[in-house]
Amino acid sequence: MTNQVVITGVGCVSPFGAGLDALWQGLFSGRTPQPPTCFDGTGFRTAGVYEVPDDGQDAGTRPVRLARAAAEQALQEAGLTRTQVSSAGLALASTSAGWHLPGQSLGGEPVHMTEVLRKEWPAVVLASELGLRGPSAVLSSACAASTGAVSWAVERIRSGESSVMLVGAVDVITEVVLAGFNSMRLLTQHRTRPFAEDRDGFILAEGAAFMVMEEAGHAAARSALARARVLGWGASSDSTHLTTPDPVGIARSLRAALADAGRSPGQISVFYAHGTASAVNDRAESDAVLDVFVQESAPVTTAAIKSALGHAEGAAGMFAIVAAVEGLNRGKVPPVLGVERPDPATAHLMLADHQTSHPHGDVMVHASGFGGTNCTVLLGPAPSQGRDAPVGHRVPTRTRPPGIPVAVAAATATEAEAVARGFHPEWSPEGGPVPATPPRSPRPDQSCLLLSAAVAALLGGLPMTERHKMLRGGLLTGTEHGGQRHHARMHAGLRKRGARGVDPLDFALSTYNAPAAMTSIMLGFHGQTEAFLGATAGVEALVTGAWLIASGRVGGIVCAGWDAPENRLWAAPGAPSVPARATALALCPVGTDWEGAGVSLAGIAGVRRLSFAAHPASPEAFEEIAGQFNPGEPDMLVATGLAGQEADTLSGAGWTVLPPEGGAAAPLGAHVATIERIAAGQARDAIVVSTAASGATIAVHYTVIAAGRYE
Amino acid sequence: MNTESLYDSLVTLLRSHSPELHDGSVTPQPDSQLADLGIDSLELLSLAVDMENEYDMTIDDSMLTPARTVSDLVRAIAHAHQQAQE
Repeated sequence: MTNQVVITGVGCVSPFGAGLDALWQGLFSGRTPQPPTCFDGTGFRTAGVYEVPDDGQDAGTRPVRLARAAAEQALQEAGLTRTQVSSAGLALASTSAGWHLPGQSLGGEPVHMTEVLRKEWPAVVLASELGLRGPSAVLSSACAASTGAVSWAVERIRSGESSVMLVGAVDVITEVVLAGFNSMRLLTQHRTRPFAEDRDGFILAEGAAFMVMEEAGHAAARSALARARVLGWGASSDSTHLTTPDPVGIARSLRAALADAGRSPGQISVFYAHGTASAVNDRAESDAVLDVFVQESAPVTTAAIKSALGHAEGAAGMFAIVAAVEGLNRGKVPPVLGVERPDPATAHLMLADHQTSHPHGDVMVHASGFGGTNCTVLLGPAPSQGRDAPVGHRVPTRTRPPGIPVAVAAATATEAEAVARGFHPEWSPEGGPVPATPPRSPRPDQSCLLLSAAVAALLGGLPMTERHKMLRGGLLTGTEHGGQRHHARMHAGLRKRGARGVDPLDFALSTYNAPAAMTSIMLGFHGQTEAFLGATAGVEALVTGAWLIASGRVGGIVCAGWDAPENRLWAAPGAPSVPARATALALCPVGTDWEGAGVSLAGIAGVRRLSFAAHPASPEAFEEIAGQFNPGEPDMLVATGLAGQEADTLSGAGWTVLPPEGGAAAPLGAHVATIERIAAGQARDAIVVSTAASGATIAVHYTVIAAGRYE
Repeated sequence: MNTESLYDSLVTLLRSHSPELHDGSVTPQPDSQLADLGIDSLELLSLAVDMENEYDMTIDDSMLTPARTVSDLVRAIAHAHQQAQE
């Protein structure tokens, strides 16, 4: 049984202007593409872009301004008190906003405020301004980032970690991104016409969309009006190609969402398609829908809002969710504009027109992204409008029994080697890495090679059954610097040769989820892939995976942190170096047949998160967050992310403080070292706390698991 | 540029995009399938960028997307050249 989630506030800033009314009207009218105003659009194969009407202020702070405006709308509609807001968590999705802002040079001009050039920066600012203290994360799985953020936030409410989550997405049009899509010939010289026979790509757009998600009982207790319910989510990796979508992978995501929500295809009344109007994407998505909805005789009512709004990258999925919520409340479905001749191959999708009323039933919103990452969210009418359970009713959403997540293997890969350690009762040290098959194009870069080497090494020692559980469960990753080397190369090409100077291979490898996607292709992960951002993002991947195990959603999952020095384009003075490294951990529930196996394992007994902040947590915060676990006197207290006097303070209080190191792999390395000591019988329990500037602070309480039970 | 020199320069570009041609031991033929040379849809787009820069021309989507063989690429270049002269 799990908490039900409702949406109590929605807001957005779109190319049609600020607010939901402007968006809704715009979805019915569309608009004419215009040349970009922040850079010279000469030489791009496109009719123009859809920019948000600019307020004339500094372009560098634009992502923050857009996000703030949308978030304030959502919070105002939700009607939360300041105290209620301060208890909320934050999930932010973004593909591009942050580090490569309009007009900003990449590596050429000195940058004085490097924090602004991070995708996490809008999250840092929002968390600070609103005083958010709940769990927070920034997710960037390309154009599926929004639905990924919603899914992550749903789990924070289901787990009871937070009753309120502010969830949003922001992306801005930049020269580098437009050039990337241009190089891939995904832009239209006309209009975005999803599922049209003569479709030829999309218009790039920008904007921010936010919503307030709430535990249903919490919303009911304060008499808040629920605008819709979030019924469930599903995710998958195509595991086939970085840029060519696969209908089988998409269908896996759609089915996973249906299963999570306990819905059948017949209960879905409207499908909000990703619908980029590329020949391949629309066909793959349509084939997936046909596969999943095959038993339904009637065509599926389909919305594709990119026909009016364009493609807002990582924010696209959030705009679709906002449109779906509006559609449920207004009793209408936004039309698919500009399609004179629907593609006969997608005829089972009944494209909405200006007169389409909202049919009775639930709504499916799908998003796909580069890397073959898919994530689908199911929404339902607000409880008072629907036929389903009353607000606050707890519904079953998991089929597996809850389990204690334990680390069964770990591996670290450097440029020189990959070393794996196993704690599973049937771990085979002679296993060697599982075979990895890299695609012929694009060839994996160093980040991809590091991550895939670490994951291949840990999978190799696990018994086959556990290995398959991991591949089905998924691969969650964290990175601080992503694939920025590729963006820098694209920018250099632009400066040298204009639009023709950008290599699409760089663009394909530039998304922050590319190493996870490449690893899924090389090793065969079919489950969820995700990319969290920030120096502690590898730890976020770990604790997110631990909950998915504990809640029974998956039977195994791999969580990793990675970074490579060439992707750090700027550094604050005195910042520690970034090693080329990936560290991965395999988690699964304690096996029921491990009783008497004579092994000790580290089980994750508790997790605490502090919100994103500009500065690392203080030593006092470390002590406070560790004290919340109330384990008595843990055998080990381990800290990462602190230096200087603050590190000395914690050391004096009995903590082991690891030396500062850049990148998302290092904090996870501290976890591996702790897990090893527990498995070796050198400690019975431990608390590991990781913090970072412009990142979240995350604490994990480990307890020894021996012979299949807590001691 | 005559047809022969155009073909030679195209082969040079193909070698930089094809794992099969990279070491120079194999020479592609006009009817060689791009897929057999390890050039998939994404690699073809990368090759097209190099072709546009090499020949200073704009290659139309309608010529590039259906390209399956080396000859198809030659035709795409010829088409772009003709378009530029019109």
